[in-house]
Amino acid sequence: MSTWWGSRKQVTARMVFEIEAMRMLFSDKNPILFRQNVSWDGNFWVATHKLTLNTDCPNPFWDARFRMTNDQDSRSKINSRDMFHIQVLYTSNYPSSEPQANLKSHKIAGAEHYFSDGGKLCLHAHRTARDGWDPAKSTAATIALWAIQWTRAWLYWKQTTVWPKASE
Amino acid sequence: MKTLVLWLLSSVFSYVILIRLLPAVGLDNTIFLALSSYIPSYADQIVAISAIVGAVFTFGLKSVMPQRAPRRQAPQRPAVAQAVPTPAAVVNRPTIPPPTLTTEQSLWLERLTVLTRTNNIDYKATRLVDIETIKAIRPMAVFLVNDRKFANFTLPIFFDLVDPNGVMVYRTMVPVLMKMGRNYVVPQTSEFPISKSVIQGDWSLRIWANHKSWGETHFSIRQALPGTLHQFIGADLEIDERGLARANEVAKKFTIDDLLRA
Repeated sequence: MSTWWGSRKQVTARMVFEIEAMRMLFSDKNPILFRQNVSWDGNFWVATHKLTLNTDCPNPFWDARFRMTNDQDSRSKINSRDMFHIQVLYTSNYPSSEPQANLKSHKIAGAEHYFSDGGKLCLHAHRTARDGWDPAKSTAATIALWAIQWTRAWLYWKQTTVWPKASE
Repeated sequence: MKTLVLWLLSSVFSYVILIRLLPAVGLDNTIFLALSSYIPSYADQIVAISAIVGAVFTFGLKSVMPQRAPRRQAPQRPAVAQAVPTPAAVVNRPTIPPPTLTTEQSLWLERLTVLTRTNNIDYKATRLVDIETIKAIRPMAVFLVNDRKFANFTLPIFFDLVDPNGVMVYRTMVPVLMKMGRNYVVPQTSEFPISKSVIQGDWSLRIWANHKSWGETHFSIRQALPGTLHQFIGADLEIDERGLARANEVAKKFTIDDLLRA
């Protein structure tokens, strides 16, 4: 049975893009600077500890472990030295439906914007293709990018008990 | 288990010896008379004595046998090791560690990677060492000291390069005067030359100091991918369809493992 991603020996062009995009986001060469154009957060760096792709199960998934550090000029009050572990799981009908993202390293029970059955993060409002998942263009890295921003919002919520709005 | 088998064999051997030897030297009556109040049967007496003699022999033998040798480490490959200068001081680990490193939070290994040289001055951090273009590699680490009282001491940092067969082919030591903030550690006088005779595959770089392993990273030495798709992935990490032909080309040539290592 053929899969959307091919096999370990023969990958599809889509999977080539997926790997390239994930490795751009979680680069082990250099930390990535996130520019946050919001009032409640500042610029921060993501330093990747480990990125792995598991293809042994029917739906492949990514595991990304990283730390976040505020930029020196950042005015952000969010400070965490924790190691974060985000898992991005492809769905069986990928890319028609978007991958699921989970924050595996922390207990998020009681937080807002996640699905309590399985802990999937609620990452966008499903309004239009531009705002949300675009099967033709979006990748697992797009979801991981949103999951990192979700994690920042969650850290802010932990400190203030207020979930920030994306536009703030 | 080995002890039990040895004891059983010794006991059987003792039994045979005793049953032949004691009557011959006239000691059987003396010993068996002494034991008869405790073990009346002659056969049981012989078995009991055999067991005791076997036990004494077994434990006596164990006490003089050499202890099991420690697990051997993979031997160094002489040809390559000789090509790279290895300071004599690194053969033994440092015996006087700085006393300040008991608090791990005072010192962080922030980064561990391999720098590649394509000419005399060009060093880049990478996880893929292209055997065609890279002339040499050297390890690089970044330590972060975040407490002033843990700064200003010299720490010998050791780097090991391990080839795909698990053989350590390079070791170097860098004494670093740790200061507050980031401390970049790169051997200035030693590098590992890359040639076509170097084994291709997945290599490891290990770092240790103060009797402790601080980390390990992996990199590949192989022929690099002929190009990149970075230009066809947007800042929002979405696909630019103009790169589809290029992605198909890459997909035909490389396995998933190649792509993850590249």
